[in-house]
Formats: sequence, structure tokens, C-alpha cells
Amino acid sequence: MNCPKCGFEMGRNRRYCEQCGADMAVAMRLCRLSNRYYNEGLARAKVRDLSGAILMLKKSLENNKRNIEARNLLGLVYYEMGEPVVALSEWIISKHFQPENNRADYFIEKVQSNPAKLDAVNQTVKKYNQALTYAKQGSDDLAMLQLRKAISINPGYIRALQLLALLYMKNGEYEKAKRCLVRAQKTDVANTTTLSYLAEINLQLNPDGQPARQEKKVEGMSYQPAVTGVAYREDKPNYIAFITFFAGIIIGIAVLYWLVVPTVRSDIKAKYTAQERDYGAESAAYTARISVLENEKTDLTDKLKLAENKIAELESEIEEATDAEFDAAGYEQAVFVLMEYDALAEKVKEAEEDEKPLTVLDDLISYGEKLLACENGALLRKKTGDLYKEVYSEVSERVRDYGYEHGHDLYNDKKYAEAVPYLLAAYRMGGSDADTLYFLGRSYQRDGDEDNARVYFQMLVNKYPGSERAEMAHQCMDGLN
Amino acid sequence: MNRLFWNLYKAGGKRMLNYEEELAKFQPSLEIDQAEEAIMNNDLTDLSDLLEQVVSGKKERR
Repeated sequence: MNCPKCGFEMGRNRRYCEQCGADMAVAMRLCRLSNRYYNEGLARAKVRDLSGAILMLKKSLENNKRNIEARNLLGLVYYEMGEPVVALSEWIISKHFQPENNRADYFIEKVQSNPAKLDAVNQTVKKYNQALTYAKQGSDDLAMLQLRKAISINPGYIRALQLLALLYMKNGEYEKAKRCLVRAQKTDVANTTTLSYLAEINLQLNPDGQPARQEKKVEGMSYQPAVTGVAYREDKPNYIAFITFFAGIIIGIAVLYWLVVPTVRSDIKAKYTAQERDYGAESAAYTARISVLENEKTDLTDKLKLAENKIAELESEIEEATDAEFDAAGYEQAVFVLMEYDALAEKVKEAEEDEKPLTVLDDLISYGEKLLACENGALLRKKTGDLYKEVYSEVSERVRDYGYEHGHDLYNDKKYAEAVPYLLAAYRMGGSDADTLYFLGRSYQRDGDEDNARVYFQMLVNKYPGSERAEMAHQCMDGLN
Repeated sequence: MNRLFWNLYKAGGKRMLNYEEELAKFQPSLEIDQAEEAIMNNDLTDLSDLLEQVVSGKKERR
């Protein structure tokens, strides 16, 4: 403790000050008394007897103004009762006496760190003061309005609650007044003003004099804390809650399984079915496309082959065209000869349909001679060569058949000179069979041309040795000179 | 009417609050801007100071 005279910080239990020599007995006694009052104030504050705590703490400070703990607790109690300015002033004074290591620093910082809340609390104080002015002027409604606003901001504002309760009581609204006082009692359980108002309300609500149940409670417990203890009961495990909890889980799972899962499955199934359908349609489209493309490929392949063949032909034609030994005149003549065949073929067809083929025999023989003459020119080109062969085959076959037939008829009619050309034509057009050769030789022989006769007889013998015609040809040659 | 109601004493000695008296007990609360003045006017005299004053006064009279 410090010496009250010189302020020197002394050790404990020192009778005299070590610096000024002052007698410390009284000071120590006052300190002890101050501490005792502080302890009493603390005990009351713990049970929420704030009014009682204020009394004790003030007494503590009267004995020792430097009791920092008592002053800080006093500020705290004032703050709890909704008097922030008074609280701050106590803390600031506490800091004045003990600047270092003081709990008041924390309280002050806590209040000032939230300026919005501090301002709100200040507003409640202003509203309370305004309400008090209205009440003293007789404007109860305005006063109550301001008080309700103040309480809504600071529900633990004791004075505002008490004033509002008083106004309610004045206007006969005892229930409302009681509610306000009960709220005030929660903050300060033994406030005498609150208790006297409550007693008055109980009196008004129970005019027959019978004590109210609440009054009985209050009478026996006037200095008990507002928050009474609950009768002791051992905690038993709540089996019902567990059972209900698990039953709920099981029911939930069952509902999920029977209601939700099938729906989800059907949705998924429908979705995949739709997708499968879409894929199937796409697949069919692709298959059709593939088929079309394959057909196109086949056509294109055929066309390619034709084109390649054409190219080969053209290349051969180009090669032939560029050949220095190409007989252009002969080729041209062959082309003209072949171009004449269409008309002759038409004529031959009509004669054969009329069964008069011999009428066109001379034309056939003449045309056959032309073919023989232009054979080389026709074969210069593949195309003309193929056409030449085709035409020559048709013409030569007819000339052989019709020429032999007509020549043989003329031979039988002893018209040997007329028979020779037809038989000769038949022979020249490939008719080198034994009969044609024999009758050609015989025609020459009977016509007096032994040389030619001998030629064709010899040809017959050489070609068909051992045949009957060959024997006859031998005999004929024997008869020649 | 209110005055009459609040000042009547019923038979049997039942207490009743006096509104005017109760209202007079209510004092205005301090606002923030009044804090400095409140701190400055705070009387910080305790028993030690009083005893010191008494002792000092006795010494002067001597």
C-alpha cells in the first residue's frame, strides 16, 4: 500500500511509513474496511444485486478512494445498469490513480472500440432524459414512446424500465408495468424501486388482500438472485430421442428407396433410351451414307477404268498419229469403205428377208474386193481394225455361201465362164474348202484355162490330200496337157 | 383524477405509490458530452483525506 501522506509505496504490515514516518495504523484499518466492503459488493454483484453492490462499493471507495478493484467493479455495475457515462467516469478515475497495469484499460477500450454501439447507448440516455421531461410535463404518451424506443435499444436500462412501469401503473396498465419490472429485476434483482413497484402492482391486481403467488415467492426470496437454481435432477439419457432419430433415418431411407429411386431410375432409363434411339438413328444414317458412298465409289471406279482405257486409246492414237510411216491415205480409204457398209447391210437384209440374196451377190462381191483392198489401212487403228474385222466377217461369210451356191449352179448349167468369178470370189473371201477349190478348177478347165485349173487342183491336193476331191483333182490334172 | 387515485388510502392501511413523489426521484442520466464535467466534479475525498484534514486542523490550532 501507499502512504496516504507522502504516497510512498510501502511494504505490507508496516506500522510507520519508511519515508515520512507517518502512522499507518488508521490507514491500514481503512484499507481493510474498504476491502471488506469491496468483497461484500462483489458478492452482491455476483448474485445480480446491483443496487446493493453499488452501495457497498461506494462505501468501499469512501474508506479508500484508491481501491482500484472497487472502482473498476463499480464502473462495471453502472454499465450493466445502462449508465455508460458514469461507468466511463469511474474507469477514467481508476486510471488516474493507477495508470499502469489497470483492468480499466480493457473496459475503456472495449467501450470505445465500438463507436456505433456507444452512440446507440448515448441515444438511449437522451431518449430517457427526453421521456423524463415529457413525463414531468404531463405528456405521458410521448414519454412512453421515447422510453419504449430506449428500451428497444438497451433492454437492460433499469431506470427507463422503471419509469415506463410507473407510467403504465399511472394509466392502470398493470400487466405491462409488471412485464417491465420483471425485465428490470432480471438485471438488478434487489432494486428497491423495482420491488416496491412490483408490490404495488400485486396489490392492485389482488385487491382482496390475498397474497399473490408471485408475492409469496418474492417475500421469501427478496435478496435471492433472479436466476434461481433449478431442482437437481440427474441427466438421464434420452432413449426416446435416439429411437426417434434412428426411426426417422430408417423411414427416410425407405421413402427414398420406394419413391425417389424408381423415379430416378426411370428418368435415367428414359434418358439412355432416348440417347440409344438417337444413336440408332445416327447409325442408320451413317450406314445409308456409307452405302451411297460405296455405290459412288463403284461408279467412279468404273468411270476411272473407262477413262484409263480411253487415255490408253488416245495415247496409242497419238502415238500412231505421230508415227512417220502412218499411211493416212490408206486409212482414210478404209474409213470411207467401212462407212459404205451400212447401206449395203440394209440392202442385204431386205434381200434376205425377201429370200432373194442373190440379187445383192454382185454388190457383196464388189464390196468384198474393196474390203480386201483397204485391209492394211483399216488395221492402222484399233477401232477401225475392229470394225473392219466385224464387217469383213459378215461380208465374207455371205460371199462364200452365196458365191459358191451361184457358181455351182452356173457350173451345173454348163456356164463355166460365168461360174468362175463367183467361185473365185468365194475362194478369195476365205472359201478355201475342197468343194470350192474343185469346182473352181473344173470351171477353169471346162472354160479352157488349164493353167488356172492346174493351180487350184494342185492347191486342193496339197490342202486336202487323201480326200475324194483331191483324188478327183488328180484325175483332172492327169487329163490336162 | 389521477391525483385523487394516487393519493387515496384504502381501509386496512394498504400502501399506494405517490406518482409525483416517485417521478421526482428519477434524475436525468449523464450523456457522453457530460462525461468530462462529471469526472471533474467527482468528489474523491475519502476517510483518509478527512482524517488528514482533521489532523492538520488540530495542528494549526495548536
